Amino acid sequence: MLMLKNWIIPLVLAAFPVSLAAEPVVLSVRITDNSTGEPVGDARVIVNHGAAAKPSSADMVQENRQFRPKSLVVARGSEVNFPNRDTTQHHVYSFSPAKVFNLELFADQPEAPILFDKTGVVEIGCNIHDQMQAFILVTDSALTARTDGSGMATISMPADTANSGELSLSLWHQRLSNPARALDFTISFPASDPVELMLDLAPERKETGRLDGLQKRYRDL
Amino acid sequence: MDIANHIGFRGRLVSAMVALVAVVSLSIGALLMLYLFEDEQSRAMEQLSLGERVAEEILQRRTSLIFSRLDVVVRDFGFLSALASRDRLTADSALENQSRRVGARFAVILDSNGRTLAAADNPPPGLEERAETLNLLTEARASGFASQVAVINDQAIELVTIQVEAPGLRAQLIAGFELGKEVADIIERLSGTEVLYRARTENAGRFRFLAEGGDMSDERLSELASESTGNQSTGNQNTASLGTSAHYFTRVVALSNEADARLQLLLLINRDASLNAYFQRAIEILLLISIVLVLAALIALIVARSLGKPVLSLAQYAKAIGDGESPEPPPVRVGGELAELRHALGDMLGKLKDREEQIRYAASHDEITGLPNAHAFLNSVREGFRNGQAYRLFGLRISDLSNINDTLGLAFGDQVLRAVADRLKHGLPDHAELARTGGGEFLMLADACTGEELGALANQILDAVQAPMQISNTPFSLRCTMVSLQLPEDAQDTDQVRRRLNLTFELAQTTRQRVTHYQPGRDEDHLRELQIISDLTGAIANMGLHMNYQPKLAMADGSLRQVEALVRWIHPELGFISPEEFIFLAEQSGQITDLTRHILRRVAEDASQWHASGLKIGVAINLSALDLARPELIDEVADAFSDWQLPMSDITLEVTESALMDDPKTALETLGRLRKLGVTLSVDDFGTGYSSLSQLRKLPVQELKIDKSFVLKLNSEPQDQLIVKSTIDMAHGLGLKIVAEGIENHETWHILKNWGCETGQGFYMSRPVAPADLPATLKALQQLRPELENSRETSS
Repeated sequence: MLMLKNWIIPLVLAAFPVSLAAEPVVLSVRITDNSTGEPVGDARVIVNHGAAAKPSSADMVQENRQFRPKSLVVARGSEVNFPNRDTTQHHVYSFSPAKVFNLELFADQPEAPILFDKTGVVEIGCNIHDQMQAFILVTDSALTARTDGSGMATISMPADTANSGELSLSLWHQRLSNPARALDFTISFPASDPVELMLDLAPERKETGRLDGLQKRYRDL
Repeated sequence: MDIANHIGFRGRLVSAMVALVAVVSLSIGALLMLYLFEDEQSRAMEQLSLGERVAEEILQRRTSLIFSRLDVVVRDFGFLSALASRDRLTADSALENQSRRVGARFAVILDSNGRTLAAADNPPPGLEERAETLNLLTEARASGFASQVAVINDQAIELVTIQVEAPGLRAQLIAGFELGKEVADIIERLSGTEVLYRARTENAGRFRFLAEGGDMSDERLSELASESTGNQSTGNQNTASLGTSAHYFTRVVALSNEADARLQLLLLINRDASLNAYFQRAIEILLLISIVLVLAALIALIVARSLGKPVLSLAQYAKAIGDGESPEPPPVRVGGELAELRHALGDMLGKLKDREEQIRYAASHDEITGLPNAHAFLNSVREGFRNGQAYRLFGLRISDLSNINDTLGLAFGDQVLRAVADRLKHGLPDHAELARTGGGEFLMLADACTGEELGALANQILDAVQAPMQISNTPFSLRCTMVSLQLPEDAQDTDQVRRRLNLTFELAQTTRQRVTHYQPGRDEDHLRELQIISDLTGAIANMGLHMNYQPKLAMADGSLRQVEALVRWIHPELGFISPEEFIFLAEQSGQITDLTRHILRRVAEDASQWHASGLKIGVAINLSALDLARPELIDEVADAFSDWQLPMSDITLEVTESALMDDPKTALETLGRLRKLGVTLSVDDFGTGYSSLSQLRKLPVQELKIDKSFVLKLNSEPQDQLIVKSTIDMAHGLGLKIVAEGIENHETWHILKNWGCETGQGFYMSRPVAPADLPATLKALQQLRPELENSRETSS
């Protein structure tokens, strides 16, 4: 089960002055694919530290029958809008335990944004467009980052973390074998070099549907 | 071989043809049956493999269909919502609803931790723990879906797993679909094979049949249960093993993925039906072959008949030819060889006749003169006898043909013969028959004639033949002997003709007449002589001859000097045969040797008896002229008289005067050697032959025996007296003694006695007597003795 630490909002609030006041502490993480050794981009790194995040508002746009962005990290208590910019209607929903919701067929903007009041990974989809998929990570931590193309992510850490010795991290990627939860890591901190971390990822699905193989065989007949 | 010979041409043709057709049709039939059988099998196999493909396809399609349905189900928002409601009852009912929609037997939804989210239609307990299930889940997690067939509660169940993936809901749906009769029915319908499910719990166990076995008997099921169990290969899904049992062609399609394919689909084709059809066809083929055989036999019979009939008629034709007939050639419809054979037989008949003609001509004609030969001539004579006609038969022999052949050559002789034949042809009346019957002999058959007419004709013929002729520039003339017979008076059949002709020719040698006619009776004499000759041997062997002895008396005192042995023969049929006759014939036939030997022995035996009884009598034996030519005679005489007890000079051997003259040299030699034996030699019948007195002088004889013709009438014939007196004087002058035989009266005895004749013999003193009578004769002579002595006194 997802073991997220309680994220302390005041920490998040204090972080900004620290960075100004004291010498900033930086956490560099480099994530590679365990099986291929390739750097993993678009991975989410969340430092489970006391620094609490402030609820905010975000958009999960539906455009060209895709969600945009593919993944979204929001603080607990944030509200997310699902504006529809397609000409078709969408039926956005999620059965994730962190947030079950159901926005039945709508165009433009749903009447109200959805409040994400529980931490966890909320997987969302569209009931009438199976290929549409997105993830919303609801977290208490304000220390999050996204890896770039080289698998690198850099997080400026609050000063009080400089002597903590150990640090708990949660990593998430869309291609995790179970993308419904993030994976926890414990690393030594501070570290002079980027922390090397590895993830077991499923290979990217080329097919658009899982029955394609079956259907292809039919066409061959 | 015997049978083959027996059944003949037709039978052989028929059996050969039937055998050929039988072999061909039976082998074709057998081949056909083999092909049919293999075809049946391969068709079954094809059908089975079709069934296999159909089964696989149907199963795959079914699986795909199930997937498609399930795919829709797991995307159904309502269903997902119900599932996400976390209300178990709601979820169960929703799953049940969907499960029925897709026709699943049961369904279960497990979350990613393996917890049951929903269950419908009583899934079998422990489903989640089954190995198949775990495999399926793993596979589905990787590829989104998976299916496998398992045996659950004795039923083939296709377990299908599909991923439930909805935003925030990750689970796996396991649904069970019964593989049952419907699937089997579809496969059966499409492929025409029967389909059975069978399963086994462990690797090597026997298969159990799932569901109902249809109307199949337990026995059959049991047979099928063991079918192909040992035949499993690697577990490849596509590997279906093929089998053949007594009643089924089978093929196994593995349903489950395990290496040992515990669940299988058994495709069957019942062999019974196809075997029945096969046997039906076999019977039909056999029937066809039988019909073909019968037809072949019929055709062969017809062919054999059409071939055999002309062959048989040709055979009869040939047989008729062989029997010497001249049959018409039989009609032969078929051409070719048989017609040729017929032609050849016809040819043969013609040539046969020609040759027969030649042979007959050669058999009845003389090749040198071209005249009929003896055989043909005698046939004519026989014909004449049969017709009762009278003929005059002439025979002509060229006297010195062998001389001509020897001196002038055979070719010349042949020319002579041809010339004679030519002359005879011209010399004879037109219708007379002429034949050359061998050597220089010609026979002619002319009309009966006698007297002057006969003489004229005979002379005409003889003159014609004996006229001087010139052959190859050699002039000469022939001498001929000619004889004639009057037929049928002189001979009644051809045997008589031949015999009497020869007799007449023989006679002609002696008569020296121009033409000798057959004298009736000659032939009977001849036959008698032949009988005598043939019976003489038996008479010698069987003591059929008798010895008589005539005393020879010393004229000086009338005492018995010797007895002369005289042979007598009383023939059982012919009666008394004179010694002159049969001795002459024995000399002719060469039997004289045996006869002389026999007589010598008889005389010696008789004499030894006389000697034993005290009669010291010498013997005189006549020898034949031929005896003198045999050197063995000396030994024979010595042998016969080996026991002789008197002086050898008491044995007198009498030899005729003529015998000495024929071959004086040999006779002299023999006589000389006989003389050395000590016997007395005497010249018999002196005075009748042409004795040479100079010869007589050389002869080692001691005695002359004056022929009785001079003595018989000596007392009354002065000429005889003169001859006898001078002969006695001459003999005495030569130192020879004189014996006179044929003394028949007292006067003659005394005349001879006075003239100094030493020995006398004759009826006056005694006739020849049998040995047994000799003693009595001696007594009578004793009584006569005074008279013999007396008369000397009275006459002197």
